[in-house]
Order: sequence, then C-alpha cells, then structure tokens
Amino acid sequence: MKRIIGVLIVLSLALIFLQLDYSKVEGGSYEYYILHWQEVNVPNLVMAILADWRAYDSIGEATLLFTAVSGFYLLLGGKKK
Amino acid sequence: MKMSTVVRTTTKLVSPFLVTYAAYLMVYGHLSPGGGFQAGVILAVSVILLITSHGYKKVRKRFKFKEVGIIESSSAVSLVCIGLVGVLFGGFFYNFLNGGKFGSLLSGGIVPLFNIAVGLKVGAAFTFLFYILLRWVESD
Repeated sequence: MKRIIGVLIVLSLALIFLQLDYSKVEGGSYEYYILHWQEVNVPNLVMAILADWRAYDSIGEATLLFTAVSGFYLLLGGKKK
Repeated sequence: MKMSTVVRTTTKLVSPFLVTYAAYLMVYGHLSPGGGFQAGVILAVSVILLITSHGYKKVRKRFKFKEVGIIESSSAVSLVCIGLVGVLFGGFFYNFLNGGKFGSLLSGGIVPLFNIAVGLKVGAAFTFLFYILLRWVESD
C-alpha cells in the first residue's frame, strides 16, 4: 500500500514538472533589470537582483540550509553519550 | 587533538580579522562586491579554523552548541519576518524602508537587513554542521 502511494506521488510530481513552461522568453529579463535598476536604490546590481527581485530564490537557499541542519541533527545529533 | 604552537598562535591571530571581514561583507553587501552567503561562509571558517588547530573540546566551551543553534534558527525566523512585514505594504518581500541617499550606507531599504540575516544564518548553519559531525565522530 505504501509503495503504491509513493509511486503515485512520484508520478504526479513528474507530471507537474513536465507540464511547466521551459520555453525561452524573447529578450529575457536583462533589459528589465537594466531599465528598472533605479527603483531598488542600490548601487550593486547583483545584490539588487539577489535580494530584491529574486528574494524567493535566496529564501529557498536559506530553507535548504535549514533542512540540511535539521536532517543532520536528527540523524547524528540526539543524546550525548 | 592539538596542533603545534606556531599554528595555534597564527589561527588565534587570524580568526578575529576573519570575523571583521565577514561583518564588513554583511553590512556593505549592497554597496560593494560580496553579500550574505559569502560573509556567512567566512564567519563559519573563523570558527572551523579554531576547531582544526585547538580541538573541538576547547572551542566548544567558548562557542556553545546550543547558542549556535539558537542563532541559526532565530535568524531564519527574522528572515521570514522581514518578508512578512512587507505583506502589510504591498507584497511578500516588498521594499518598505525607502530612504537614504543613493550609495550611502542606509540606502537600499531591506537589502542590508536581508544580508545580515542571511549571513548570520549561513555562518551558524555551517558551524552547527561541523559541531554535529565532530560530536558524532568523537562519540565512537
């Protein structure tokens, strides 16, 4: 029973990932970043992209580290002998 | 495990400068090259350098296991809170603190706060991982 549920979850995830739109946008986001740079009021364009427009990306990175730390703690941490 | 006197003296001399450099990268991340993640890695290296030269048992007394965990989780919570306060003003991670001249330290709104939170989080997380691995190795 557990295996069937696992296979169903994996298959549905695969379906969702296959249906996403990976086609290239004409022109890209490059021009938008250059034109709207003044709105963020930050001289460092890399940091403006990372911490303002793509803050979701950075928070995902922080979540990944948090998951790694909690996984390590659950597996290897525990009570000290 | 202890290394020789030369190594111990040098690492003691170098690691405060590494902490200073990490703080500079965090606070000035929106003006100069650098940013939160790099600052956090350097912050973790300053502790890991002390662990390799002085041994885990001695470093653990100064940088306590629980405190590192508390720093890690509280900076994660503050990171989400910065995003959630923006919801009141218009959207998740909306830049609500607009002020300061272009190019000054106080410009950029939430970007410096975000950098500081990410830096503390990454530094504490890497130190925590090292602590857990060392504790596991030494318990055998």
